[in-house]
Amino acid sequence: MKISRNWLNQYVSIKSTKPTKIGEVLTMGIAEVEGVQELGAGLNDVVVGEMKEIKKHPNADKLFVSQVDVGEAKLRQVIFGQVVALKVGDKLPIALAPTKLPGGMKIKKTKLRGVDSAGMCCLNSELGILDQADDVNFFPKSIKNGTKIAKALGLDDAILEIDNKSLTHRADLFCHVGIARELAALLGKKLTLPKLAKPKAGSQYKLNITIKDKKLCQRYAGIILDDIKISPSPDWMQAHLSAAGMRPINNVVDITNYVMLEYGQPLHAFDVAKLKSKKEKEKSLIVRAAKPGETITTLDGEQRKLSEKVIVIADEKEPVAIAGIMGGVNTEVSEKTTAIVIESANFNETFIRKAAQELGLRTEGSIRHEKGIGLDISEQGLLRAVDLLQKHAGAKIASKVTDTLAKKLKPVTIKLDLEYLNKLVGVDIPKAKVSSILQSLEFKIKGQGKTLEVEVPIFRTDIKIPEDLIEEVARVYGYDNITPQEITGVLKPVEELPDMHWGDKLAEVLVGAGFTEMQNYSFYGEKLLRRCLLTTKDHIELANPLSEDLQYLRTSLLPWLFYDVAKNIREFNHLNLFEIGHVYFPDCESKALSGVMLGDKEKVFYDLKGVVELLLDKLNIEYQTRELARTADCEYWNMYAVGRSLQYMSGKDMLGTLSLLDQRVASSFNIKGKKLAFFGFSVGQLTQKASSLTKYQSLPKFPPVTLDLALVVKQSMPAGKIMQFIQEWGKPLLEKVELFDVYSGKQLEGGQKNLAFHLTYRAQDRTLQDKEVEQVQHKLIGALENELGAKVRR
Amino acid sequence: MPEQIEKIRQQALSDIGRCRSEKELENVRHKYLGRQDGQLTAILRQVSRLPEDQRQATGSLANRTRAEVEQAWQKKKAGIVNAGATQAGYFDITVPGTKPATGHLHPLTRIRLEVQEIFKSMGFMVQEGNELTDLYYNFLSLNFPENHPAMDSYDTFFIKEDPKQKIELEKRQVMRAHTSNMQVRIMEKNKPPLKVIVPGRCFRNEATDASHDHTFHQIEGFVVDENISIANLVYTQKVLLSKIFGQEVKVRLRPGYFPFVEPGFELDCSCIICGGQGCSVCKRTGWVELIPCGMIHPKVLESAGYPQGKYTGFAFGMGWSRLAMMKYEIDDIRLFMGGDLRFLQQF
Repeated sequence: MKISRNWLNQYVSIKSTKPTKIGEVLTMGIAEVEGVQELGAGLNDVVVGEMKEIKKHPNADKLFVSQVDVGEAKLRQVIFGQVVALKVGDKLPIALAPTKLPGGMKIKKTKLRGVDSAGMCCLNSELGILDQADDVNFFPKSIKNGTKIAKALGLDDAILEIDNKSLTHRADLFCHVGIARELAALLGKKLTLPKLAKPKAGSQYKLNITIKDKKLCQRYAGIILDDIKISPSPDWMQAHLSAAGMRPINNVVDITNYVMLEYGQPLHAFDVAKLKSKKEKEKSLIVRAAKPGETITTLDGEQRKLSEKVIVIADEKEPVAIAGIMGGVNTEVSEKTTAIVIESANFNETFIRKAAQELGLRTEGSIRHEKGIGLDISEQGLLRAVDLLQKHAGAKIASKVTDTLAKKLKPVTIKLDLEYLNKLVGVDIPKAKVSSILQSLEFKIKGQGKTLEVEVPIFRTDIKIPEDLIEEVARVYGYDNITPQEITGVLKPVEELPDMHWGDKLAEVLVGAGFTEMQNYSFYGEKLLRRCLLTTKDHIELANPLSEDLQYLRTSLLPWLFYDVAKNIREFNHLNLFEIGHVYFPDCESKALSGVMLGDKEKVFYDLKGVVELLLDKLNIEYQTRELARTADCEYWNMYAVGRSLQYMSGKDMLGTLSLLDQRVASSFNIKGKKLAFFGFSVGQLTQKASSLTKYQSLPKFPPVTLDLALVVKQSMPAGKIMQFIQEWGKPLLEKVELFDVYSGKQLEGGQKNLAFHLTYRAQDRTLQDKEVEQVQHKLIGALENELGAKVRR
Repeated sequence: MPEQIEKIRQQALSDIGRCRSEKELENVRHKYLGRQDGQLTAILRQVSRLPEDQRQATGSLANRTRAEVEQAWQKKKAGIVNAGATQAGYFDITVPGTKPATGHLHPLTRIRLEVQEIFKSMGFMVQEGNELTDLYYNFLSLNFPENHPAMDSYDTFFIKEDPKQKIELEKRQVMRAHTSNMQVRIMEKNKPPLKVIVPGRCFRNEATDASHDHTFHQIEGFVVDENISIANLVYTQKVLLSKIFGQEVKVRLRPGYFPFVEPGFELDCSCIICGGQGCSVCKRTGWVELIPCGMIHPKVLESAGYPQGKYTGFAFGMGWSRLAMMKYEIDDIRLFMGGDLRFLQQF
């Protein structure tokens, strides 16, 4: 919203205050001022000049050489081009060289094709003023040559650009009076508002107003004015409107706009002659919901189809305006208009907002209505408009004021406990100061002692509770005047969420193991799922997704991780990635951990398995593994390579899975000639089983004896089974068995493999003799040969 | 005697030079420096018997010689011992080191851990919560009136509903638009005094560009107790931000409007790039708008079920993504979730 400093100055004396200072005061006291533009800035050397002589440039077809009277003793020679045709006698802005224009353009005394030029004829766009077009602003003859154009154009104003968002709840501040009131309070100055007198009633016309549904409209005031003469509005009004970003049109339209920007009350003017009625001198306006299928052509020329969500103003036959948003062409004020109805109404903010959304039409009017304007403003707006129309459009009052408000408005009173105020702010603000601040914002104060009774002005629709008043006091008092204060209180140990604690621990271990943490989106689309051989089954769907690729809530972290692999595979040979994040199911949301590892061969499975085992060890979780059981109806198993997947169990609870990626899925992510292993765990399950308790084990007192063992077995014999067998057999002397090599190749018969183990024996009470150990190992070998069909390589 | 010492010196150095093994070297040591009958040891022993005018000069010469021989011997020994242990030929010390492969925490996680530590040290507990929530916790419990324009500005993602089922407004499922959705949920379960932060993912249905992503990260924080004031809010933010940025910062409050606080503020922090002098980052104002905050609205405390008028509190929202962007000078928010390792492995 654009606010003009000169306009404000009518109500509060701020002309001597620097515009940037005004901006700062507003920013710190009420609403962010995003920019302060001083209109005349940088135009000191641009003056009104009159063309005295124009000749063709001797050496250039497209240039002209002019002699210009710029109020100096001698004429200036200025060369200009063809953008705008100029003739002798024209008065226009001339930049006097040497100077610099607001846009940064430097004007020097120079020679153009051998002819001197001591200035420039300026386009509006070059001056950064008016509508910024490539147009020349011509001045009337009455303006003296050499007058600075800032003065000639009334550019001594400054424009404050206020961020509307910081005023969402303050309908009263969408106007100059409202901002002026704030400034008066913040600067401790006097506020002077226009005097508004009730007009005497006229009798030529009768105006009936009917509100069909009180919910739609809380107040509708109107009056008919006659003898209107349409003409341009006065210069000062045009200057103010232009400064605030509104194009002047004619006196009637300008006055309705002016009052809106002054009081924040949108007004509308209907041409009385165009309102259809049975009796010529009795006009009726009806406020009602639009009927389905009803249409209206609005002032912007669009024909609009209306629904019941839209409120309309109708005459006896048809809609003549969309309430609070835009008028209709059928009753538009024109050059020929002589009588008008002025509407000043208060429509329901929610209806206006919804209607504006539905129509895709937000106007200056709807922006104000949807904030919830104070009910008293309808009357003020009407009175102000009548006064201005009488003065500047020759209007005569031709009816009574018709106002649907039945009862007198009663202001709300709020009790303000001063002790509470001081407690909440954290500073003692004296009672007198509290009162004077509130009064400066037009609150009325009653009450004795420690509680004030504060009467809220009707236009402050945002003030409902004591805290609202406390904000008023504190911000005007100045937030900078509050001394920071530490919090005092009870000491309490800080509790930590277990799944955050263990989640962070998991990340720490994985990073230590060479993994990079990813953060992928919570949404994915059918396309990505299809690449994983998954469907959208059991997925939660967004009603308003940004795109179809972000339509479903993820139920697994894996699809995006595979995507990450595909994205990075060209730059990185080895990829170890993981993510800890939420997954979402129709019945629950939970935290998951997944990781992927890219390797050259299927061995990557064992590498990743080692990482998983490290994770579980670090969390002190006891676990068992078994081949993945594929339950019938789970399409997730499509991602798991057959015979290459494990599940990790802790008792009956499944902790997670580990697998090689199915080749079809791998191909869809361009993983060719490489193997991808992945794991997926539930952070919740891991958290339940994890513990940080590790007991110290006393160090062994006697040395170990280590022997190696190499076995040839059938390919299909699981190493795990052999190791378990050895462990059982070796009790109690066998301390540890480690598999250190698996070989199946040329030196072995087909269908066989060689497994090599380190076996560590130790006794707790003596030093083991080699002989004793050899005996144990010998028996073990016998058992392996007999029971598992293994052959020992010696 | 000095001539004799000089002769021994030359002989000893030449013997040391000729040694080829540790054994030979040991013999040489014995010959010159041995405690019993080493030649230099014997000389030193004789010094005390010299006439007084010769004693000092000769003693000093003998000691210097002994030290020189000892040093030459040590050097030779080091050469012989190491020659057996290292490879022959040129050893290239400029070959780059072999780094062990370690991974990388996501920059957002790094920032969270840093910030979390500071908050914990000041007695704040850290909470998380579901990202899929309902309109009650996301808006209604926070004093957003139904149909209020404030709700529209949050561009919320709604979950698709079964058109046959009629769902009450407050039960409608949404992706949380801010981590403030946890305020009432946490208050319901905990009695004041409360000091909490909630880091988390938030979602908004808005067009993405370098400074907006539909998924971003926020850290909500709030404090509730019997006497919490605006003055407390200012103090806490000043201390926290100074810690987070590792330098003393100034803060200031401006009025701001958020339905769940009253009064509501925009908290500006003195620009950490220029120290408040004015630069392009702070648009020459010396201040950076950083933290929307305010005193918790009584309606929110009422939603939590707290007795009316007993408690006050403040709440604030930190842009977690934004903090990371400021700290690491990241110019595009989409990099965080873009999955590009060339970015992620810089951290």
